[in-house]
Amino acid sequence: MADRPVLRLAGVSKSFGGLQVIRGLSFDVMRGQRTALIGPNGAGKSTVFNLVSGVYPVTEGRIEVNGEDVTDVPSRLRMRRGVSRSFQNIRLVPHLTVLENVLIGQTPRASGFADALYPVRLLRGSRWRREALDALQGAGLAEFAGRRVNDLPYGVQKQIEIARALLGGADVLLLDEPAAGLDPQESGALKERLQHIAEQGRTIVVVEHDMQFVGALCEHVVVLDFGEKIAEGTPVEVRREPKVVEAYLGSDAQ
Amino acid sequence: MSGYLEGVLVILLLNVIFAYAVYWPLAAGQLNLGVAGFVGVGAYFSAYVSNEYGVAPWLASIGAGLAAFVLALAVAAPVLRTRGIYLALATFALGQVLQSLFLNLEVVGGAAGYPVIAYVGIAGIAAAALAVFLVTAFLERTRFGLNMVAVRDDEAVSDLFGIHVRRYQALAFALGAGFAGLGGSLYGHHFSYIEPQNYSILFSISVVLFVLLGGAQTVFGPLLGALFFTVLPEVLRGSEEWRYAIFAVLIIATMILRPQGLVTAVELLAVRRLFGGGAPAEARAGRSRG
Repeated sequence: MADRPVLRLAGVSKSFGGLQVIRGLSFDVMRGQRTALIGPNGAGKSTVFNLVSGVYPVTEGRIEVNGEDVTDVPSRLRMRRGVSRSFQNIRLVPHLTVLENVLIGQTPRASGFADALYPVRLLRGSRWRREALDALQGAGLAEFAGRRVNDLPYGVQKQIEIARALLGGADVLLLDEPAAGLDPQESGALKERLQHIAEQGRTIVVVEHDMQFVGALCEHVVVLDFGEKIAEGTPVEVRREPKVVEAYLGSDAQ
Repeated sequence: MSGYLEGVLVILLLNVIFAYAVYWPLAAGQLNLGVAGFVGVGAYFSAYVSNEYGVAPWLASIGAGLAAFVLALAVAAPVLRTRGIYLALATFALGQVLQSLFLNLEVVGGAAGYPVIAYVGIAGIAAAALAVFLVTAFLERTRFGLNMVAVRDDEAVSDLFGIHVRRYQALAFALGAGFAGLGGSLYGHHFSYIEPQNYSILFSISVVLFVLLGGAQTVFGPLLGALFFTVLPEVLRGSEEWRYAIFAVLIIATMILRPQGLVTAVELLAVRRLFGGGAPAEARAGRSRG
């Protein structure tokens, strides 16, 4: 059990019409591991997230979560199978409060008929509300609970998205550019928070451009270029790969 | 109560019911232009079963709401497959089909109309309007209501968070239709006569208009819209022919000045803050710490 991967991609390919954007991609992510998916723009990183979360069906290959094949599980049920995600562009409900947005994150665990009719916005002391408030407290967001999302700064909204994704109860958290647009102080705090989340047994996979952030947070890096894996290993290892230097860092450094 | 005042009040209460019939689909991001059809279904259903089988009007009215609800669920699958303006057109077409059905159903009088024997007074209509409001206000506070907002805002993300988007949209559509059927039934029982011409696209459009004017973001919007649309024409009655022009100008002015509707969540939050009930208690505690 210990060495069984919590997320496994086996020979995954994705084509849009004649355009193949992911080619035979395979990698494993172990429980509690902090993994980064990096690569130049257009390498297919966000597409991988869309495949794992079920937004797009795969053309070929298999995706496993906790040892179960989820390749054909509809996107609506993927979170219950253990995969949750955030988005590159913030996608919260802008005119709801922070607390209400986070309450929506609990839906994968509250999808029965009785759950639907439970007045979460009426009963102040309900266990759902307490849980959501605890989550906000843990993320240092308690003071924003009653504020409309729209009125809050970008960095705070990013953290709310992560809090919401966590509340679905999924083991694997896919975070699409969590540090983008954050100042150094905010990104430092985010790194510590993600480390803390990983220590509690969640598995974190990030797509990230900020190599400093990746180096500080992640112990496992998968490098993509033109939809193919060109390297995998620790941040230090992949940085030494000539292919990576050429494809990724080379083009970045010019 | 004077007969005039009671007359206006009955129209107001019925308009409140119709407003929530349009509000629910809107809450899920659907523009239903066929609401008149469901009003008609309710009116004819209730009139028929009470006239022919002696069913008590209150029971017939509940049955009418259920009949419209079930019909809406049945047609939801094909109708809700369409999006945006095509959805509006599909619901419009549905309304037209239902209206022509009433026109050609000889068993309920066809174009000649259909008298309704059992009478329902203002008290019964007020009770129904209150029930419709309370059901809506309660549902809005549930996870169902919260998820409905999520569905309206972003279907893709709602789906990823485990919300059955199609089911929510179908239920919102059917719930609205059920309210429409209930209101239609009460209309028939109060005015003792129904005819196909009542259930035209003009009726659907005016209800949609007053919900949009009142605001489709909160449960109070439709209430305000119904009030605005019922009372204003009466207030303007003194200005004779000009009232239509003044009414039109006021509507256009409202649309320009308040495109989001007369009342939105922002105003509600401000009002609650004013009375100290404001943001959730937990949030205030957090703020004082920070």
